[in-house]
Amino acid sequence: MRKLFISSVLAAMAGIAGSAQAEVVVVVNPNAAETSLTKEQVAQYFLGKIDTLAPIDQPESAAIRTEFYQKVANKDLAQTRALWAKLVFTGKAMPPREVASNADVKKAVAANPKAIGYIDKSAVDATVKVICTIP
Amino acid sequence: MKTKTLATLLAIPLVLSAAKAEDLAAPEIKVGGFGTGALTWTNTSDALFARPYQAGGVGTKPRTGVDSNVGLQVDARINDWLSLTGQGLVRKQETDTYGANGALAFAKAKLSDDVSVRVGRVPLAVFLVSDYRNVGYANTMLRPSQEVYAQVPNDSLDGADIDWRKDLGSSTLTTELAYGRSSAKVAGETVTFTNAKVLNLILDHGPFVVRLGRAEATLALDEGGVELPKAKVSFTALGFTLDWRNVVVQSEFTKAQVPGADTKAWYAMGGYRFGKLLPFVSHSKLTGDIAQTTDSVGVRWDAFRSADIKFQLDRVKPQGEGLFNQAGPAFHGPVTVGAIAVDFVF
Repeated sequence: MRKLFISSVLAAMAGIAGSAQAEVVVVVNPNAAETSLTKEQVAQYFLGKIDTLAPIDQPESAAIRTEFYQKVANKDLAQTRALWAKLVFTGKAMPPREVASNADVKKAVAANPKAIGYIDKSAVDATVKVICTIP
Repeated sequence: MKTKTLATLLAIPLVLSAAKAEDLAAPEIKVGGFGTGALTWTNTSDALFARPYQAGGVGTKPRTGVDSNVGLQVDARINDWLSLTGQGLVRKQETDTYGANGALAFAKAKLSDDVSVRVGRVPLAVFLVSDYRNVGYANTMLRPSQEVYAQVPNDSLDGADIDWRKDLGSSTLTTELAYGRSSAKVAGETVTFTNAKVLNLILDHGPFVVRLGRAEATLALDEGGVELPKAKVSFTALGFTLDWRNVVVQSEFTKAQVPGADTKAWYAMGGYRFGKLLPFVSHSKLTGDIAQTTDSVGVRWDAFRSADIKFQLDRVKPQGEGLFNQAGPAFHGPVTVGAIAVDFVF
């Protein structure tokens, strides 16, 4: 954990999240109907294009967030923010709920059959169901 | 919006949430905002350069009024299917002073996973970027194409709209229908659309968005207390955006049909992202009663978290006075316009 923390900090400092990161997986509630989603489908939820599942975000300071958006949508944080500004200030959508950590994402997903989140692969347990692995 | 309507709107959630109490989760309130601080100047003092709704404008002496604004928004999520949104916007308006107006105030009900309805003061979405044209941070260029966006100065609609999203696998088709009334004060006149019907089809496929829109309404123009005869008007727009890897393209063709005063306009903007720098070029043209073209170069720099810096130079070629205000007898184009801006969201 501490090693992971240090590498996250280093990655964030270097501005190149990813190199020192574990695999990212997308998770939903174990009772959700979905069994698998493509990267493109996952991106649609997190970019506000469809809202049948409620996205749960990680903090902007977390390296996993940068890595996730880069890999599923090919967008950096500024691009993602500009995109959400369009949706929010036209009253089309509210931004994804943000929680503090992998553990909190799991908690939110376990509590809501319509939630979708992303976490480090190493954090997966029985409380959530993996529906997409992002290498 | 009339106070009574607003009060009714505010009461809706209470009644509805009582009716569907089992859905009741803790209400979530979010306060956010956006703004732009900008300095704009031109190379002539014979006419004033302004946004389409403004009375004043800028000459050779740099001014903040043309491109600056600030908006504040409150969203309240009452439960899984109901939310309320209010937005106020401060900017330089038709009287050449800063003024505030209630830009948005609506209740939104999600009827199903695909359909939502909004009632109150909703955005008047007739252009590709019309419902976020005031949000600098959400746009690549420093200001939307003057030539295209001058055609309809109104931003909001008092009425209702319905949004139906159809998930087509890796793409989404959104159908928006709106009905209502819209009034906007611009320099020297009030532009009111009644019986306004808007239909938009938006196809979203990965990095591409294609948008086809059609609006019809009855136009009432009030020029300094004198009401002009009402006229049936229509507006058609075809827009396209691409945001693929580092390439950003945005283009729109529009046609406004007003008896005796049809106008056509288009613009195309292309940019390329080099990390946090996004340089762009654009060409924009308006033909009809009023005619003008603008060539622009500029750059967006995502310098800070939640804020960008923009610089833009425009070469504006008006026919006669074009879209300029208070043109003197010696005025002639082309005019060079420069602007530097900081856009932020919070």
